[in-house]
Amino acid sequence: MSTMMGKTRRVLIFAAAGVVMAVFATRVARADVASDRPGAVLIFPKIVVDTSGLFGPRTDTEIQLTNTSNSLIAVRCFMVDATSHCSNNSRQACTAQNEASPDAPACSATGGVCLADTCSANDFRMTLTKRQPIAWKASEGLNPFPCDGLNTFCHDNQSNKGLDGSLSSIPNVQEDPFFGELKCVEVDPTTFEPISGLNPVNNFAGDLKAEVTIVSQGPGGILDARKYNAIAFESTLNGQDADPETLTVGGPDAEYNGGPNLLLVDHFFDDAPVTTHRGAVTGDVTTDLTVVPVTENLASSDINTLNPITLQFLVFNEFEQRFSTSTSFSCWRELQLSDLDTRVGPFGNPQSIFNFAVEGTLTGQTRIRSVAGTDTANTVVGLTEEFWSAASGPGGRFTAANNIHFAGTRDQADQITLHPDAVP
Amino acid sequence: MRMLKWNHGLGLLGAVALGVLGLARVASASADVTTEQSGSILVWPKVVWDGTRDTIIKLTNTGNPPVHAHCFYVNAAPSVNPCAPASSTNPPQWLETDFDLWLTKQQPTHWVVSSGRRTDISDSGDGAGFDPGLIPPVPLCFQGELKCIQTDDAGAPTPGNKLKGEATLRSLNGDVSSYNAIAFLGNPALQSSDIGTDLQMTLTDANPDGEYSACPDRLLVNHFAYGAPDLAFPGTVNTSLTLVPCKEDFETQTPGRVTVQFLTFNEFEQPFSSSTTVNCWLDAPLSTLTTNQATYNVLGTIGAYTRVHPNPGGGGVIGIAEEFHKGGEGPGVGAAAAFNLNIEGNRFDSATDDDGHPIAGCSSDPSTCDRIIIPSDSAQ
Repeated sequence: MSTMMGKTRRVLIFAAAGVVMAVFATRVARADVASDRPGAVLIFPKIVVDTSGLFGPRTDTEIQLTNTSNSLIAVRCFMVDATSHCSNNSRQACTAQNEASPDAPACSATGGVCLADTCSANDFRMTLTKRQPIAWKASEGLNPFPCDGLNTFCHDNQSNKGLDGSLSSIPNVQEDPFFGELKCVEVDPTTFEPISGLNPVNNFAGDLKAEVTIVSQGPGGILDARKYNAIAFESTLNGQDADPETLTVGGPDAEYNGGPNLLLVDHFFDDAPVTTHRGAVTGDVTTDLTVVPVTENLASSDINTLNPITLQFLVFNEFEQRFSTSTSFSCWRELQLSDLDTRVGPFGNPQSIFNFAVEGTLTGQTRIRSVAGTDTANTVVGLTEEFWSAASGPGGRFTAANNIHFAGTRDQADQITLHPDAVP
Repeated sequence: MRMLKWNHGLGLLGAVALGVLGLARVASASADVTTEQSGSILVWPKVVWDGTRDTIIKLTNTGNPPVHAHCFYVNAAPSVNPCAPASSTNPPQWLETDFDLWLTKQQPTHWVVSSGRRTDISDSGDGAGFDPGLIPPVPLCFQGELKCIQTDDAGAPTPGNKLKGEATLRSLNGDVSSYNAIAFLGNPALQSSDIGTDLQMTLTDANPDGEYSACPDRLLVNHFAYGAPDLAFPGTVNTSLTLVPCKEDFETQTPGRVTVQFLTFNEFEQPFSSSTTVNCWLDAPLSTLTTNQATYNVLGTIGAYTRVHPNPGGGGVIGIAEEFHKGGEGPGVGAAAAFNLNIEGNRFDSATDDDGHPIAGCSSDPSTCDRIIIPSDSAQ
């Protein structure tokens, strides 16, 4: 009898514990990143500067960042330089596309190869007053800030001078040409340590929103522009843990919502001939995909030394026919879709599963899954850019950018390790 | 024996609860309106065919089962002369044309609005692929929105959340501009329920029994001051905003009408305010919408931030923005770049904003909440 009562008691305790734990499960991370809501961590997957037009039309990137809250906040940012260089000349920037089809001097012309070498981050910090927007171009940075706290002040004598007395400043990108990404983290304006958001309307999820406009200039000053939203990771109700230099993104102890399990990309197949205006306008289109890992050690002098992430692609055309391929990368990667399963460059593109010549329909859906690591979720985020052939456009084309759809999340966490904050 | 069964049942309850815990750790996605997840109602706020600009629509079934969709073109062009600007003598219309689509598993599809898409199993090139259904072309000078609602095979709305979409606006000179369709999530718990033809936008994180995502309370727009010098290269930047009301009644042909307040901040944190009314569909330069408050001449800084807030009780709005970068001395409006807007809060829940002011949601009187009413014969 006592044994039966003991068994019953254990079962009751087990059942009650399960119910209680299920109720409190709502306090774990929400399962989404967003490019349409403010957040506490922002990722800008593509920043490009080529003011001399070495690898195409002259190009620069305009960045807009806003504090959407009604409170003073601070931000620490990390500009990751993923520009490749020639193996025999570390000062000569290169791209794999240019090596395959040179418009600019290629490394191979002097016996070198184009290496995706050191990937490193420059950090900077700023303080933003309430509801304050700022805008700058990547090739120049921003200094001084609008309300520098020395000569100019915002409303209520607030300024962009940190509460620790530091001045806000944004440097220009590390080199020109430059290819890379930007990561920004909302921090306390006194300690400059990561914090959750301050706006109760969005459940303190974060106060930063941003957009990126990549602008190119062609002959006669004609401009082309494409724009995307920075990807926001919202802070969770767990708050910040005791380690201010490591951000836990997703997982059971998440400080920020986790990265996406799947990326869903609607796109035109490369070289698809698209006719509009009832037959009056015809041109073909190609698509570039840019991906960056969520897990990143920004304190490392060479982020490329991290384990590469494998991406699995599942491609469907309008006949529901299915193809697959894979690739791997670390730190940062931009590739034309047709170069994912063929040699980089125009050779072999008509045989790619991302090409209209193979797929036979104009559009496709590609589902991208990053393979999880043993300890990390290994999620990635990114964007797509379309390049439409047009005689009057800079470099013979006009462009558009799109934020990528996503689905699901993962049980494991990603980690962003910040470079130790150095007071400027 | 009874005791054994009782213990077994309790053990099962505990196991189920822990299983729910495991699912809950990954399934607690936001119920907000979204531009990057699949949904059950998709809205493309800006669809144009005016001889200069045409629009390419992309739509995909992101799930394995086939999906059906009931779509509505809403033509808001002026009624007397659609190709002329709207005025008191040329008022905008609100004309709906609807059609049905069917997509197989994971199937993407596309069409150009000026041409539509025929069903022809023998076509190639642009028409190659499983034709999703007969899609009518829009008339010249169409300007308005496209809405698609996921339905079951009988045509009844179903909250399957398997639709995603994009739009590309292409100009005669080849310039392109692209944005993601705005998705309203459906409540998956209602998949076997009869939602009817009155689609209520009452689903929020705090109200998990709602039908579809509640409309956002505010739209947040980062933009360059209208007419500001381009940061990157010599030229100027102008921004236009396209807004559509969340509330629409296709049964009685009653368009939504919402008055919105604009609060614009420049880089010195100085606020400027204005308001306008969205009558069915609104697409206008920011300078016009804000009576020049959002112009470079007034703001004095290149960067600006505008909060778009519908008046309480009048329903919500959704929308997109589009920038035009004009360089050189050539004609035209410049290179276009569309982008999706950020959202804050929702129109259903009551809340307190970060100024400490209460925000009244429609939850106290759900009959006033945003809703889309579709014709009753759509769901037969």
